[in-house]
Amino acid sequence: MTRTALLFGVVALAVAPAHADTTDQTWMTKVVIEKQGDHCADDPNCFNRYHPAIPPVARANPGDVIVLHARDALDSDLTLDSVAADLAAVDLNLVHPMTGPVFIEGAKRGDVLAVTLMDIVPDEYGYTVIAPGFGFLRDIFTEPYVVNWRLSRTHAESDGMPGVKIPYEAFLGSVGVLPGEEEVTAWKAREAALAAAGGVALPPQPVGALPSAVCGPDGAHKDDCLRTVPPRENGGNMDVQQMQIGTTMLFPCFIDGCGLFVGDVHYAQGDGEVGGTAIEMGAVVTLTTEIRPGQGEFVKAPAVEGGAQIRNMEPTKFYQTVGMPLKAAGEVPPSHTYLDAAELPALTNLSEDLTLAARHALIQMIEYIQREHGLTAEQAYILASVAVDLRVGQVVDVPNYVITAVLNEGVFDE
Amino acid sequence: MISRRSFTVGLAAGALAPAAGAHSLYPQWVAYRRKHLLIGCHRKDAETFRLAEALVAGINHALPTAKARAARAPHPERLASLIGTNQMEVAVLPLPEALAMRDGTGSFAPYGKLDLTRIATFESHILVAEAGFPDRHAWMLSAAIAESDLALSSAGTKSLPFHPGVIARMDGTALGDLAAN
Repeated sequence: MTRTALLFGVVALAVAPAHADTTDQTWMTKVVIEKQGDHCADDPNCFNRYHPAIPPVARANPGDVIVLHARDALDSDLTLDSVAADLAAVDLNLVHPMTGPVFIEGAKRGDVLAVTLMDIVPDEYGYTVIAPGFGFLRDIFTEPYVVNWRLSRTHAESDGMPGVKIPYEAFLGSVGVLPGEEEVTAWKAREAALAAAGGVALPPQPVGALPSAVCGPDGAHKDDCLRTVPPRENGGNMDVQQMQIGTTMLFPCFIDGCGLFVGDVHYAQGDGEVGGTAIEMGAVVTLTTEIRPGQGEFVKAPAVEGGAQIRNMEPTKFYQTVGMPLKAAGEVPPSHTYLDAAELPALTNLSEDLTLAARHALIQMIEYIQREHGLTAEQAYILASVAVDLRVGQVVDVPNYVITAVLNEGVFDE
Repeated sequence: MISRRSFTVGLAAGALAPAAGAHSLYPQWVAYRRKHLLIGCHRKDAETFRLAEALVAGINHALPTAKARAARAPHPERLASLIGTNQMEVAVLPLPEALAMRDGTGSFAPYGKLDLTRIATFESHILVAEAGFPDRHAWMLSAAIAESDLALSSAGTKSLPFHPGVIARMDGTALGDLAAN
């Protein structure tokens, strides 16, 4: 080594602590909520029911950067080599494990909590499943099926879906705030009335409920802890893919501190999530909050503020099917069985019915994917769940309102 | 040939009791678990899955309307949870694990004691059923397994008694003479 080189080396070492890089320069106040244990039941930072008595696991000020480590929707043990047999042993009482709740200092009932999503770091594995009895076409796809995805920050791919790459468009399947006592009472009552009328609404289920001290079989509020499957005015399982990184979600705050939570992170999903699951994964979620005092008077249910995120998600080429409220004589889709209308089976055309129009569009799309891209019916249904958007065409041209199904054909590009 | 119709009718009549009430978000999941004879196994012991798949093949050959399927849990404790909450009735396990599950000991303590009986014995594993599994179903299941080419063993039979339906078949009781339960 020359004398000059040695001199530069010594000088560089001397200044390294002050100017080596930018890592030691920080400004964020971070509140980090990590996972503990393998499952929600092992984790004091995790819960899977809604009730205002669920205690906060952390406190944060508005403007703090909150980092939450979130679990997959099924709190599952699925892996890259999982098969359909693994689905048959899933315990459905564990849906959905949520991380939180976080007490936001200064927030109170009647305010709006604005939550800006800053980042989602995906796990390396995700899955999409057909679960018997769940999903939009549950009468057609009755057997369990699983596609295991390898995930990166650019795309997802799978041996179970050859020739397909799904772009990274992650969002929170579930995000929201805890309900207040009066919301629990009102929502429980309206869902019980719906169930009594034959609708699909699940009452509180203490088995598997967390935290057990509040919601479990011996919990203080075991009969009032609401299930996480339906989205409600507090947000929760909304599964709205436009809630992308960079958007701000607004929630009416029902309790002091709001009780912010996240979970059920989706790597990608089509509008509709027709198969019942997106690309489901665990993830590390970063967000920040702002309190909008008194705005709960105007924002009575979740809303979203965004920019170019919607445009950036649009496909560069697509195929679109057009659905109308048409069906076969004798057919009663599962979504309509609770109506118990005697005229329903014989009709082949229903009036102003978006659900039936969506079914019509989706079935055509699945047939198209099979025909043009050589996938099986199950693969096509799974692909539709993660890369086909159901969209409203119109709600005026009676009786045939239109829903279209839009396939992002770009997923087949090499 | 085993009476396939009676087995299917029996299953449909409620052999696999639903885990949820009438208003379930997953009505067809419940139906799936009623429609199929699920053979529980788990990932912590690869041999249980291999045996479950062999059992499924053998049972469906002799008794196709059973529509047997393997159901692989992540660990044996999940099987205890599913059996203990009437979401599953039949599983293949190593004998020591089956005994611990029955007694509610070790890692099975949170699930309490389970009333397990023996359907069949293999080299190192056994097929167990919850005691509420109907006698007629146990009779037909053991008959289907006997027809298969799975290697059965008689070792260790005292530690976990056979299901009454299996005993009835081994004693020569005709299926038709068993009471429906």
